[in-house]
Amino acid sequence: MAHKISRSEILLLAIHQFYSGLSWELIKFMVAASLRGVIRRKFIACELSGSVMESYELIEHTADIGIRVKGASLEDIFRNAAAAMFDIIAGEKPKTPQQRPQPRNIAVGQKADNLEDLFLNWLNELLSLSATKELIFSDFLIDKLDENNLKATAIGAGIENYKVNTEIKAATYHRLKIEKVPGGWQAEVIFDV
Amino acid sequence: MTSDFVLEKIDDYRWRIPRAYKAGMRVPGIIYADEKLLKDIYRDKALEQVANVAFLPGIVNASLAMPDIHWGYGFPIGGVAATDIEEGGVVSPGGVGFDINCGVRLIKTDLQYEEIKDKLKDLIPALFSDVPAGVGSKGDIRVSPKEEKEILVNGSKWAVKKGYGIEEDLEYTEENGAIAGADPDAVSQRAYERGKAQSGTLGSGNHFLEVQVVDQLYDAALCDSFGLNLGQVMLMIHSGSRGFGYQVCEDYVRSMVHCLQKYNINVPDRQLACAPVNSPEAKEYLGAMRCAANYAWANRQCLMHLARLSFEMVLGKPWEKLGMRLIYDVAHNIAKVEKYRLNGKDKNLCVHRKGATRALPAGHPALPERYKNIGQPVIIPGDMGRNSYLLVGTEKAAETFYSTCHGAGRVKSRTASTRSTDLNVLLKDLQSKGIIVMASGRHTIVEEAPQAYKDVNDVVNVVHNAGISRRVCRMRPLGVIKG
Repeated sequence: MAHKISRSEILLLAIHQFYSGLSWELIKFMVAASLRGVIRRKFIACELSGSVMESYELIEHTADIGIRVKGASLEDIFRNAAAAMFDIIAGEKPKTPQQRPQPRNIAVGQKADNLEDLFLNWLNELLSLSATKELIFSDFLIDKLDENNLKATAIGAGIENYKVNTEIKAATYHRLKIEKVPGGWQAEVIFDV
Repeated sequence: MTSDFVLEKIDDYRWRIPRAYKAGMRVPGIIYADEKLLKDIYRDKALEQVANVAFLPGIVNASLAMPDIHWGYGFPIGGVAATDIEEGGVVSPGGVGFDINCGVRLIKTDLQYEEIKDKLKDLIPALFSDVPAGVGSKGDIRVSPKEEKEILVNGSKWAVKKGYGIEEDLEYTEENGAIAGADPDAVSQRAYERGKAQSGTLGSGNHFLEVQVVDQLYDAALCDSFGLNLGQVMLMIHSGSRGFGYQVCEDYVRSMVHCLQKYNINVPDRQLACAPVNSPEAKEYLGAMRCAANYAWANRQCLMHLARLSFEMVLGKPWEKLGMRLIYDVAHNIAKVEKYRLNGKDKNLCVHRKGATRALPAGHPALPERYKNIGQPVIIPGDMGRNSYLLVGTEKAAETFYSTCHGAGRVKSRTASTRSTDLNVLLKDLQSKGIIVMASGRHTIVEEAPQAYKDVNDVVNVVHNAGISRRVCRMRPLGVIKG
């Protein structure tokens, strides 16, 4: 489960990132976020890409849940949004190294008329695969991505290894945004929960 | 934000969004609310969504909103829209939602609260363990692929044939638990896979099973007709079509986004993607949507069966002897083709109810014999700490295409509710009211805390005073099972 991160925790994390040699831009973003008093925010380490992905923010919605994600590249946005979605859905149960579940890789291919549709199809395809294969995905490798095509690998483990918190029925078109912003990309999506 | 929204007052319970509000609105919006509820309605983006729905091709009279209206995606939750099929009227999968035929059923018992109050501590855990609930939960009721298709066509009838209920249950279910026109070939393989393990499960979020007690009677004659008295124990089940319905909706929103261009349709939100009811795309969607609706009816029938068995086990009598008869089962997320008389002409309309309940008046041909003289039972669940209601439909509801509210309606987001609710304080508060709550996740309880909802009493006052349904009696919860 994503926990509420205090402002001081974000600052500490920023200092940690500074010593890990991360970009000044990202640190500035994190400090600014801490000062804005973000609702709930989680920093997710992406072991596969070797980089640290940026955070997501929850958007207040009366009935449902929305997220705002940022990233340096389009690939980041697709990865971060997927990671955020599964972070809302479930949290990993504590495990010893011996108990770690065998990861499963699922290939995901999507085609669409435009980037927004592709983004939405990606998230909905992951929800659908998660439900039918009874997996929770935690890592995402983007093999190929342009405006109309996506080839990716979603890596997950059996749902029994997780504590499921929230059912997300689908990602919706309502107020869907994916756009270039200074320093990278930003996307917003509202989930039906 | 909609705080600068100007609504025209029609009367104390009806407010209009004029067509002039937004270029492209084909009809005005009409909101059923009183001044108190309007304050909450103004706070979120639901009114903008009422205006957006007014863009749908073929929409007639008005884009309607019930007093439990709140911000949804595409349609507002609590929205009703009817489109004229002959005039190019559309169907929009987003106007039904992902949880197709999410709905509620009410079962009465012959038990009095005093008789069972000491047994609730056994009954509620028994229901909790026997009725599969929770995110992605799997049911004990397993079906073969061949049977799966049968569920999609025959709905509750399949369940009754399997022994999960009796013929009488079908009579008291909307569409007799199986809407005609279901087309299993219009359902994707993925939807089959997603629904496979979930029949006979409650689901999570706002879905629940509640043991309730009648705590107020409003209309003595109607209560007599239903055989209801103060202190009588009731059972309410709220669930839908689970992953099966989500996938059907997703498949068709995806394909209908292309129809906007194909049929030259202008809507301000792509979640309102739609197609003319007579188009091949819409026919296919309706065929698949009806499958999901039937799946949901079968699901609630199975849930009722499991609950009846729990009552039998704890109370040591067959459920028939406990008088556990179904009062009614209604859908509140569905699109249906219904006949209405408009401007002196008989019309086939496609009525979308997105978080709204059908409410037929006395004398309507679709009603079972028992309800011919009193009108269709309308079941309004509230939040877990307050009340639920039984109402009946009225002739006045012709103005809403025989539709009324469907619940309390959210007022606080899930995140806000989680932030402001202390689980232990909430559980103590519910306990002090004599309410036992069991849930598979702590998360659900705080997200679904009573303060996240409008007061259902206020919502029901509006539909009663506006005349679009009539109060019969009120219940309060004794035990709540949440997913």
